[in-house]
Formats: sequence, structure tokens, C-alpha cells
Amino acid sequence: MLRQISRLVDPLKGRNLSLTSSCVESKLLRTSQFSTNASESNAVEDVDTKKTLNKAMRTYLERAREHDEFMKTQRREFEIGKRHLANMMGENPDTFTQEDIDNAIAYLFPSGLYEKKARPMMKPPEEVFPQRKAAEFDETGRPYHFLFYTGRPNFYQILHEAVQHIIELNKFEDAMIRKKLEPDPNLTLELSGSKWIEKEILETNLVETITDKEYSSFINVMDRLASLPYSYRIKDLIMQYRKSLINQSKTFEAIIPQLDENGRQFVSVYECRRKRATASVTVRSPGTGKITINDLGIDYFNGVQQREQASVVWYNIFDRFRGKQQKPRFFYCTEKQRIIMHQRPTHGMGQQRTIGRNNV
Amino acid sequence: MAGSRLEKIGTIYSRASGLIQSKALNWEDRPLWYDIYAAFPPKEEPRFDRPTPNIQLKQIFYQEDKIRAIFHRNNKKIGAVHLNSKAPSLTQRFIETYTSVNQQYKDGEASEEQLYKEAIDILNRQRGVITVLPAEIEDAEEVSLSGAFKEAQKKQEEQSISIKDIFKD
Amino acid sequence: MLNIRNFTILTEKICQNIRLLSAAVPQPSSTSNNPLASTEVSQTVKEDVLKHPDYFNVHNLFTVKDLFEARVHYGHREGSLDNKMLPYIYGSRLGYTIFDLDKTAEYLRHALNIAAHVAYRGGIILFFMRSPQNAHLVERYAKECGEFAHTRFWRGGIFTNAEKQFKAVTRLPDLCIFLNTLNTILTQHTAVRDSAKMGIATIGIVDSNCNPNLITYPVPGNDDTPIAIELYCKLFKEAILRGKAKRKEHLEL
Repeated sequence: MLRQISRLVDPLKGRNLSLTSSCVESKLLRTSQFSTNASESNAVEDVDTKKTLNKAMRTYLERAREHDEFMKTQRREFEIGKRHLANMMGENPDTFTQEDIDNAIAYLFPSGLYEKKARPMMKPPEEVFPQRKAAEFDETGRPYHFLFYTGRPNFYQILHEAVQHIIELNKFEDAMIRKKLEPDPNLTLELSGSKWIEKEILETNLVETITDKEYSSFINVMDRLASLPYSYRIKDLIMQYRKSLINQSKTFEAIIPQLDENGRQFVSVYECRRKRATASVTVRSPGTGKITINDLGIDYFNGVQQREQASVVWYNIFDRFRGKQQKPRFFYCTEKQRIIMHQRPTHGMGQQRTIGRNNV
Repeated sequence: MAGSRLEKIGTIYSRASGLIQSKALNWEDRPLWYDIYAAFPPKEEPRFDRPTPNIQLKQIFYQEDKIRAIFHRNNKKIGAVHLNSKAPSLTQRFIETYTSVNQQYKDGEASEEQLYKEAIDILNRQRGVITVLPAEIEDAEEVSLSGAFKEAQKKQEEQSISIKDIFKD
Repeated sequence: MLNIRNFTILTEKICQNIRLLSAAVPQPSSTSNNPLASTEVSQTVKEDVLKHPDYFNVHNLFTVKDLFEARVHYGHREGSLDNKMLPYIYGSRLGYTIFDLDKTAEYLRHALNIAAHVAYRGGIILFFMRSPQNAHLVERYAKECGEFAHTRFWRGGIFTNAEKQFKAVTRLPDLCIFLNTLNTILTQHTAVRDSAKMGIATIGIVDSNCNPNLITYPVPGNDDTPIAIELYCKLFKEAILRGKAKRKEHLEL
């Protein structure tokens, strides 16, 4: 307890002891000065007690401040570095996003290391250095947060607020029932495409460690909160703790076919690549089922396997695009014929020629 | 500071005083509550080994309990008591009538049974319904499921709602 | 010097006895120019405040009827009675223990006075409540009076191993107020024992199945009914706020 730490600064010698672990030992040290007449020098002693108290607090606050300063300098360096990098890459420094930075670094410092986190990277300092909490108590030792003594104030604050919301929403629901109103079904919270954020992410957000039990109680509380009929009133708060599961688009956007001069629909896709081969494909509808590759038929391919693949793949794709049973009409390859013909076999694959495989 | 983590020895005050006396703890570093404890000590010392007092737990009974016993012995099902209402419950009313009837007679003249019957009669008259014997009070007060259903059926027949009529259109 | 001091003390006592029980402010006779007048009340003022039997007027905060209406007198059944609680029990009504509300009132006023004095001296007060039904209420009241609350699972070393737990030298609470002393598995809350270990004064609402020995200022009463807990919270909050208000007043002088 701080009020009972003996004085660490001997005013005569002006020594400053470090406070972290030596606090425990210094507690046992006897101070040089103690008074017997309490009333007389109480004023002075109050100052001294306050001094020792403040010293300990001040060291802690200093460390917190140092960390802040450190982060600031790192931030500045990062910004300067970003501008240099942009100049190097010939891009506009002002519109240089983090993605561009990642690409630039990958280009300048190509690395074959398997561990992605071991590769060279340039990220903002908040992501690189672990976040620390700002000073949690003031100079007298009084903590700022009312749940400080639980050890995880931020986490339990969330639970406290969630319970507060539950109570308020229940009251609101009661009021609505009294008025004989019902919740709007269009506004009900849509939670199917998301899940509650994971424990690790919650830990990083709160800068606190959480046990599994605490995390499961968090999930219980949030489930309860989200299941209330009027939970849409605090939609933002709930969505804050939801992570959407679906990353790709929900709908599959089919390519819209264009019309050529005969009034037939066609779809062209360019720059289809496989290894070093490039092709462009046009599919016409309604068609005849004819396949043309570089002005030749399916005979362009020497191997039976390649021929089968060419005809089968397009058949299946066609079905998916149109949803109807249709024979593939025809398609043709244009460029880089020579490259296709002379493509070398791949490394260690043996004598098998790999021309034409999936390069349409 | 030298602390003393021995919660089973003495009280926090005695231990703190000991530390101060032996100069292991400075007077100015004493706990915040020390002066307050000195000025307003608790009524019993908060010692871990405070002996258990040898007190008998007494049972709480009232004079009216005798009357209550008679009433509840004869009427097993009284029905629920509304705890939040200010109006006296049935038992309370019985006690009042019983005591008033008892006062009318001289001491010891009337027997318990007599008093009881008279009190019950008065109560029934107050209720204004049929003068029933004690045994029938319970039926009137009791809410039975079959009874309620029969009543509801009767009501429906009186209203003569036919489902066919509703769905005619 | 000492004789003069005794004389002043005597005259003050006489004055106080003449004065009615009112929270009149004793003029702080600041003998020395205290350079820390802004951060700490002078010792003489503190001593004067302590001399008054009820400086913060806590005895006006409630009546025995309030306690009755909040059902503070309901204890648990005879079977779960802890014998150490017998002095505070009025009796048992058909198997249910009933607290003696006169005694409860006395103890409660004492406890409120202590809490007010601790708040007056700028102490840290930590509220404990381990019943999930009332936990939110206690946290709310603790927040409102600017003090601290712990209504969660008690991690072993919070008091006894504070430096490691909080990763910094921390100031421990000066007063712990237990609104129920038992935890969810009906054994005594570890913090009661830990406060006694670390020399932290405690106030605790002790029900008929609790052990009041280790609690500095026990208050016998019901600790389960929400309405009783709300009453306690309100009373402690009021006492603490009064203490803090007086502190602010004296600091500005």
C-alpha cells in the first residue's frame, strides 16, 4: 500500500530509488526521520507522505507518458517513410494507401520466407507495437475507472453497459405493450451473416486479457441483448461486436452479354492466363456448337485429354452461366500462339507436354 | 511498510497499533481509518477468535396465535393472501371478530367452540352471501379449474356464437 | 504547548455539548500556513471533525420503519443460522429468523458514520456484491457516488498480490463495504479475509447465515431482497456524498 511505503527519497542525499520491484524491499527500509510530536510537524509530514505517494505515482505516470511519446515519434517516422516510399515508387505520396505500401515492400524486398509475419513489412506503429493502457490512476493513487479493482475494467464495463441496455429495453418494451404497440418486423436485427467477435480480437480491442469463462459470459450477455425484441434500438452497439462471416459477394454477377451486328449475343473475356499462356474467349449465343481455337477446330490440341477438357469445361461453365442445357457454341484463341506451342514442360513434371491445358 | 497479514490474531487496529508502537510503521503512514477507528470503535472487537455467545434463540409467538391456530385448523384452504394490500386479510378479520365476541362474554364463560361458531357466523353475515357452515367456506373461496371451465361454457352458450355464422361469408 | 492544547480541546468540548446535534462547521483554526491547503485538509480540522459524535448527521438518513418496509428484518431459516449471529437476532417466527431492528439501526448508523468519515478523508471505498440479481444496482450506485465496485469473480491476489495483478504499484482501498458477505457458493467471500490480512477496514451486511467475526463494522440485516439492498445502497451513497461535500468545503477554505 502506497500510503505505507517509507520515503524513498532521502532529502539529504537526494537519491532516487527505482520503484518497480524495489518497492517491496524498500518497504522494509526505515526512514531517517520520524517525529514524535505529531501535531507540530504534521504539516511537514503530510507533505512528505504526499511526496512519497506522488513519487511512486509520478514514476508510473512518467512511464505511461514515455510510451505515448514513443508512439508519437514512431508515427512520425512512419509517415515520413511512407512519403519516401511513394516517391521511390513514383506514386503520389498523398494517395499512397496501406495496400500500396504492402505491394511496394513486397516488390522492393521480395522474401521467400514461409512465415508471413517474418517477412519485411511496413505497418503503422499501432499495429506493430502492442498497445498499452494510459495511466490508470491519478497522483493520489485513486483509480479513474470505477471497476478498476476487478482487474479488467474495460471488459466489465461492457457487461455493465449491456445490462443497463437490457433493463432499458425491457422498460421500453413494457411501455410499448401498455400502448398496445408491437415492434416493427422490418427493423429486427439481422444477425445471420455475422458472429460475435473472437476472444483474441476482443482482447486486442480492450488491451486486457480475458479468460475463457469471462468470454463465454460475454457471449451470453450479448446474445441475451440481441434477442430482445427492441434490440434494433441499439443496433450500432451490437454490430460493433459482430464480425461478418461472408467476405465475398452474396450474389453471383453474371457477365451481361453484348449484341453483335447480326443481333446475336456474345460474351468475350480477355487475358485468361495459365502459366505463360494467354487466351481470349468469345462465346456466342445462339450458336452452332462449333469450337474454334486459333482458326483450327478441337484438333488444335494434340492430346485427347486436352481436347476433352476443352469441350467439357466450357459445357459446364455454360450451364452455370445460363442455367440451361446448352451445347457450347464456339470459341477461338487469338494471340500468343507461338508461345503456347513452344511452352516448355514445367519443372520436374517429366516429358509430358503441358500445352493447351486449361489455357483457354 | 511492514505489514501484518495475520488476520487470525487480534484486530486490524491492534495490529496497526502494534506496528506503530514498535516503529515498524511511521505514524504518518498509518492507515486512513486508524483515527476513525480510534474515535468510533466498533461495538464488538472484530477478532477472528471471538467466542460464540451462548444465547438461546427464542421463538416468537403472539396471543393471537391461539386464535389463528383454531381458525386454520378448521379451515385448511383459505386462499391466497394479497401481501401488498392494506386491507386486513381473512385471518385478521377473524381474529378481530373473535376477540370482540370474547370480550362480550365474561372471562372463561364461553368455550372455544362456542366463540368460534359465533365469530364464523358474524364473518359470514359480513360477507353478505349465503350463511354457510365453516366447511363450505372453503368451497366458495376455492377456485377450481373444472368450475371455471363450466362457467365459461355456460357463458358461451348464453352468447350463442356459432362458428358457422362467422365463416359464412 | 501541550497544556494550551488541552485547554483548547476542553473549551471545544464544552462548546460542542452546548450545541445541538447539528453539522455546524468548526472553524478550521489553521495554526500554520499549510502549503498543501488545496490537496489536504489540515490535521486540526480533521481532529475536530472526528470529535463530533455525528458530524455528517447520518442518524437522520433513515428510520426503523424504513428498515421494516425494506424487509431488512428477514433472516434465513433457523437451520442455516450461524450461532455467532445470535446476539443480533430478535427471535424466530415459525422457523424464520427475525433481526432485532433496533440493534440493526444502531449498527447501521455507526457504519454510515464510518463511511462518511472515510469519504471525508478522501479514502477509496470498494463495494462488494456477489448476488447477480443485485450486482448491477450496486455497480450503478458505486459509480454515482464516485467510488468503486467489485461484483465479479474475485481473483485471488487482488489485495494480497496487487503489484503483480495490476502491473504497477497500486493503492488499495481504505474501506470495503460488503453488501453481502457470502459468495455464490455460500462460503465467506475471500475479500473479507483478505481485507483483514491487508489491514483494510470493512463494513458488511451480515445475514443470519454469515460469520461477522472478521468484519470491522458488521450490520446485521437482510442481504438478499433487492429492496433492502437498494436501501443500503442509497444510505451509503448519501453518507459518502455528504463526506465528500464536506471535504470539498474544507479544502476550499
